[in-house]
Amino acid sequence: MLSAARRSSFLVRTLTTAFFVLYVASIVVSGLAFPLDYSRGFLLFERGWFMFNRDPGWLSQMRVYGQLEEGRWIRVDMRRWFRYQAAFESLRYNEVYRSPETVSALADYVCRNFNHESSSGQRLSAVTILDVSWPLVRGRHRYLAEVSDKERLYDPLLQNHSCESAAP
Amino acid sequence: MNKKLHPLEQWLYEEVPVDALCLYRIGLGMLIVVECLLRLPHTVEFFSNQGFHLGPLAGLAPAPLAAMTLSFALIFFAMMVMAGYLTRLALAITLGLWSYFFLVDMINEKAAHSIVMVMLGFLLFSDCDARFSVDDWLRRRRQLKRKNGRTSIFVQRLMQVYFLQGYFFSGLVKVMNPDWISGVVLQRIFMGRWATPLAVKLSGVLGSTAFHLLSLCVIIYETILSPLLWVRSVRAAVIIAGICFHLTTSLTLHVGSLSWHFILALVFLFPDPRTVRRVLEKISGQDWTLTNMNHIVQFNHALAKSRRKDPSKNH
Repeated sequence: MLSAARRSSFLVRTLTTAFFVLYVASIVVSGLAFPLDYSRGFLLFERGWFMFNRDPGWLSQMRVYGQLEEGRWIRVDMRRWFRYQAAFESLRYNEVYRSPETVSALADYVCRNFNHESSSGQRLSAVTILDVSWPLVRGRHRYLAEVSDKERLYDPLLQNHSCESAAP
Repeated sequence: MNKKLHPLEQWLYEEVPVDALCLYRIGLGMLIVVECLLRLPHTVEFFSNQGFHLGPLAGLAPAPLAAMTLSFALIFFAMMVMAGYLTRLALAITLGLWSYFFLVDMINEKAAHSIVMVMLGFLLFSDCDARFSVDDWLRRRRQLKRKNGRTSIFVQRLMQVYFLQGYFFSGLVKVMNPDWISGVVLQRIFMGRWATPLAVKLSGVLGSTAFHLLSLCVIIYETILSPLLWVRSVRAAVIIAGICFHLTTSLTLHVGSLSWHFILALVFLFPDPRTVRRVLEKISGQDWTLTNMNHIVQFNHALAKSRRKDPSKNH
């Protein structure tokens, strides 16, 4: 198709050159967005740029707790909905970016699915999500279960999120 | 004909053998098929309305059975891309399905996923079906006119720019982080969640000086060496260095198909397409220019024969 364009009119050449200029310009604008701090850049260009650009030196895992209608708190086993091991000690839900919106969306998902699968009285009325972090060590991957309480850091991401807000 | 063009125009539009682009199409199709097969067991969790999604099309996630059907369809059309059968249609459908899944599930999204979208989009406007394809085989079998074995390098340049910007700006982001330059981040990455057992072992063996040097190598390759892929005299060395870099990455980090996408580009998109063709001719021990000419002679012969049978076709 483009070999035909190659032989064809001045107009086609001008249009493709204009496209090339626009393409390169959008890449440059996107690429300078981070250093100059004005945005992250266009989606299709910037996905690889921030890969491995920083590492906090900790592993982390989200823990989800639910309050049953009777008032008792339980730990929700996320393996019932998330089976894919995305990274070390990290199922797919743990890959969620820790922002209030995304964590709330996860809480709504847990409420919806848990309550759909449970009988009355065993449903959740609220959800709390914590992030548990533990330090990396050289030469070895440590599972959370191997880490002592002293080394764990708890960060509440979402507290007492009401399940009433979770649309069915 | 190329000699008459302005150097910049020649760089952007010169006619080159299409073989490299066609081989890239096969490789890309293969990577998509492998990736789709690997995620097939997780289709319901990744893409159906039973899974958790945050993408812009999360609300349009299909039912589990539909998600499964679409996954199989994606594999089928990616295989068609690989084989080069109804290539343009297969490219368009593969791009559509891949983009839809991409926009449903962005939790487990990888950098390689956007590479696939952009590359499929570019291939759609190329002559990547002209050789090494069922389409070409059918054209020859039916004694139809084959597509030109030469094409404008324009699409290949767009693809090269995409990969180069991937290198350069990720290098730039690293340069801006002092912990990257000192090697601290790389050492942590080798201990972290994406590290393979080999990387974790290396993190215990290598000292901070080694990580500092490795970090500098990565930054230098990404920001300084990669643009040299456009410099003929050093291109081969940069390609070899790049392949080593990506093989090391795939051995030490769980980055999915990303390394293979870059290796594929380094092998087929960056070398001069004329060199790729010469290598192919050497491997096959055949002069393809001669083969193509023979085909044209056969085609013209068949055309003349049909005209003799039916004189009305002469007009």
